[in-house]
Amino acid sequence: MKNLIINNLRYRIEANNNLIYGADIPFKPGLNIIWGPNSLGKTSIITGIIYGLGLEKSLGIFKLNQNPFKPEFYSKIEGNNIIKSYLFLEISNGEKTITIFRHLKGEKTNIVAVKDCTISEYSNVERFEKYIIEGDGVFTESGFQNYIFDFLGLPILEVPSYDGDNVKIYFENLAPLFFVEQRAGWSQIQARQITRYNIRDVKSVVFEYLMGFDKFDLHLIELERKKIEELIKKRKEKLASKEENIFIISNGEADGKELIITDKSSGKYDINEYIKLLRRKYSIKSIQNKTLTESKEQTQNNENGLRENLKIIDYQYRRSIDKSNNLHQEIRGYENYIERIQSNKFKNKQLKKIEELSLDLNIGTCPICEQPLVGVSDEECILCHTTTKNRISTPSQNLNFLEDEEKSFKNVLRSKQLEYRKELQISQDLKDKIKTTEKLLEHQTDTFTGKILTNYRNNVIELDNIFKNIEKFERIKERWDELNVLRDEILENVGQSTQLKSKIDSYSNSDSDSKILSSIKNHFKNNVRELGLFKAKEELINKIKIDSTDNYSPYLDSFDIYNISSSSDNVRIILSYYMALLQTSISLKEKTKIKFPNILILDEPKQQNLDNKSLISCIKLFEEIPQTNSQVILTTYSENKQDRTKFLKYFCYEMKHDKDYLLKRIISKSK
Amino acid sequence: MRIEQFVDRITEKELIPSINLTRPKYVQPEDRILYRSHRILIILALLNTKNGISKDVIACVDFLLRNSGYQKKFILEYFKGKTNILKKLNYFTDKNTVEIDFNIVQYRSVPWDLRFNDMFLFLYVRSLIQISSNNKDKNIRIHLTETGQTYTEKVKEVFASEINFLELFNSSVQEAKAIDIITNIIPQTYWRENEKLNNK
Repeated sequence: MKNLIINNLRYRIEANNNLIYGADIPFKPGLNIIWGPNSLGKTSIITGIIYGLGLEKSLGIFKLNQNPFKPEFYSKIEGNNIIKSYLFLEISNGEKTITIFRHLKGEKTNIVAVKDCTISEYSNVERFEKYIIEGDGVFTESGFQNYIFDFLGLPILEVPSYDGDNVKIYFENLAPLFFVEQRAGWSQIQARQITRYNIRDVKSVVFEYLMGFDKFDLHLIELERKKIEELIKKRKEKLASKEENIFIISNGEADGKELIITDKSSGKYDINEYIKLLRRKYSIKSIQNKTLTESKEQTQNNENGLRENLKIIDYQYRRSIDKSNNLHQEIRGYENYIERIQSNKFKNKQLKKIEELSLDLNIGTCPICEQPLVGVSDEECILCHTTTKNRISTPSQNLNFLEDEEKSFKNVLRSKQLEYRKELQISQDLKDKIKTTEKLLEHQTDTFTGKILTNYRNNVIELDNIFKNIEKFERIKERWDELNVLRDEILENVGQSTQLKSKIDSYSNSDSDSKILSSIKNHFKNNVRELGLFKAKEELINKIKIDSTDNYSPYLDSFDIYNISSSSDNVRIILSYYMALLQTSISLKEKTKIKFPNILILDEPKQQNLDNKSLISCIKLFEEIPQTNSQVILTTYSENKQDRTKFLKYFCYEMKHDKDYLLKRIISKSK
Repeated sequence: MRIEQFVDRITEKELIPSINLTRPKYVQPEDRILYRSHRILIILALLNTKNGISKDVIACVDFLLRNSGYQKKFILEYFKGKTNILKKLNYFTDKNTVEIDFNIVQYRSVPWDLRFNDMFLFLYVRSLIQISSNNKDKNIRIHLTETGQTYTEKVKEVFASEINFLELFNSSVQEAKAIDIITNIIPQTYWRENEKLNNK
C-alpha cells in the first residue's frame, strides 16, 4: 500500500593513491529518464538501485562472489586498484526516508547498513541498523527481506511450493513486476522471475499478491488446508502405527472402527465378543481345574495308603526273615547236638566194650600207709575221698539217656524245620507282596499320578494363559478405544479440509479481482494502441485477453501473441503491460488491496528495436500518469537532438558525450 | 502203680523209660579216664612205635581223634601234593562236630588236656606205657610196654575208625609238621569258624 520511491543513488569508490571516484544520481517522483549514449553507465545506475534493494538475483546474480557491476566498480578504475567500493541508496515509502549503505566489494557485501535519514545526512547520523541482505537469515529479525517488506507495508506470506513445502515470497519475486532488465527483461513479461525457489505458479502468485487479488487468499486457504492435510496425514500415520502395533500384539485387523481379533482355533471375533469368549473359556477351565484338584487329592490318598501298606509289609518281611534266620541257626544247633549225641553214643558203645576187658588194678594195700584197703565206705572212696553217693553212669545208662535225648531232639528238630519252612514261605509271600505293592505304587506314580499332575499343570497353565489373554485384550481394547479421540480429530480435520477445498473450488472471480483485471486489460489495450501495436490488424487488439490462464499476461485465443508480433511489437506489449499495472495501481490503489509499489524501473526499451515514435508515445503515456503517486525510471537515448529536447524536463541524469562516464574523480574536500 | 502208668505213657510215646531212683551222674566217655587212656594206647600203638611219641604230639593227635571234623583238614594239609593218599579222603566227610571243651588249654601251644597226666598215670601204673628221656628229663618220649602192646591188640577192634585214620600215617608221623598244623593252621580256621558263629 506504500509506494517505493527512489530518491538518490550515490557511488563511492576508493582506489589506490588516495583516489576517490563516485557518482550521485538524484531521482524525483514521476518520470525519471537517464539519458546517455551506450556503454557510459546508464545500466550501472539501474544496477545500483537494484543492488541497493538487494535484488541482484533479478539480474541473474545468485552467488555472493559474482558481481553485477562492471569491473571499474570493484576491481580497477583508470589503472588504479580499487580498495573500497560502496553505494548509498536513499529510498522513501512516502512517509519515511531511509538510506541503505552497501559494499560493492569485499566480504561484507551480504550486509547492509540502514539509517533513517537522507544521503546528505548519512555521515551525521550515527544510529544505524545492520541487515543481512544475502544468504541465510534474510527473513530473520535482522534480515533485509523482513525489513523491506515491513518498509513497503507488504505482508510476509508463505505460499505452496512444488515440492509440498511452504515457501515465503521473496522481494526478488516481486521485482519482476516493476523492474524490466535490459536484456532478458524485454523478451517476455516477468522474464526474470526466479523459479528456483520452487514457488508453485510463481508468476500468477506474485501477480495476485502484488495486485491484491482476492484470489491470492485462496493460496493462503490452500496453505491452511495443506496444514490441516498434513495434520491429518500425521494423525493418520500416528493412528496407523498405533493400530498396527495393536494388530501385531493382538493378531487382529480393523473393520472400520472395530478391532477384529483372529483366534487360532476359533476364527475371527470382534474384540468385545472375543473378551467375552475368553471369559467363558476361563470359567469352564476353572471348573475343570476344581474337579482335577479333587481327583488329584484322591490319587494322592491312594498313593499314601499304598506307601503305608508297603511299609507295614516290609516290616513284616524283615521280621519274618529274622525269625527264619533264627530258626535256621536253632536247627543247626539241634543238628549239631544230635550229631554229638550220636558220636557220644558211638563212644559209649566203645567204652562199654572196653569195660568188658578188665583193667582193674588189684591193689590190696595203700601205697602210702601200707594198710590193707578193706571195707568199702558208702559215703566216699577210701583212696581219693570222692563222694560216691551219686555214682557215675554206666555206658548203657548213658546210651539210654542219649537215645532219649536224640529222639526228643529229633522231634524238636522236625518241628523247627517245619516252622522254618513255613516262615520261609511267609517271607517269600511277603516278598512277593512287597514287589506287587511296589509295582503298583510305581505304576501309580509313573502313569496315573504323573498324568493327572501333567493334566493339572497344563490346565493351570492354560488357565493362566487365558487370564493373561483376557487382561491383554482388555488393555488392547482400552488402547483401541483411546484411539477414537484421534479418529475423531482426524474426522474433524477432514471436515475442515473438505470445507476449505470446497471454498477453493467454488471460488469464482471476485468483483474486486475482475475490476482490477478489467482495468489492467483496458489500460493495456489503450497502451498498445497508443504504442502502435498490430498496425496492420488492429482488430486483434480487442481480442487480447488478460486472465489467470497465462499467468495474467496478455494472450490471444487463436494465436501466440509473441509469435505473430515483431520484436518491437513484443517490446510494446511488455511496455504496455507494465504501464497498465502502474496505471491500474494508481487508479485503484485506494479502493482495493493492491500492494503494487507504484514504481517502474525500465532499462532501455529502445535497445530492443523500439522506434523513436513508440518511445515518444510511451513518454506521452507516462506523462498522463499522475506524477506524485508514482515513479518511473527509464534509461534511454536517442541521437536525435529533437527527442532530447522533448524529454529534457524528465532527465534525472544525462551523459552528455561519448566520454562522459558515470564514475568521476572526486577531489576530497579534506585533501 | 503210678510209676507203671507213667512208664506206659512214656512207652506209648515211643520213649524208653529208664527208672532209677538213684539217678547216676551222667558222665560221657570223653570225660572218662578209662576211655581216653585207651585212645592214647591206640595212638601209641600206631604212631612212631619205634621211638615213642612226645606228649605234644599225643595231645595233637588226640585232639584230631576227638574232633573228627578237623581230620579232613589235617590230612589235606599234611599230605599236600600226595595225590595217591588224598584219593582215600572221600571217607572223611566234613562234619561240624566242634566241641568246646573247657578242660583243654593252650599249653606249649598245643591243645593240652589237664587230664592227660592222669591218663598217663592210669596207663603207667598198669605197666602199659613206658616213659623215657634221653637227656635229663628233656625230650620225654612215651611208648608202649610189651604188656601194653599185647593189651592194645585186644582193644584194636573197638577203635576201628580211629585206627583207620591213624593208618594213613603209616606208623610214623612228622612231629613238627603235625604240631604246626594243629597249632597254627587249624586254629586259624577253627577260630574263624567260631567268629562266623558269633557274628551270625
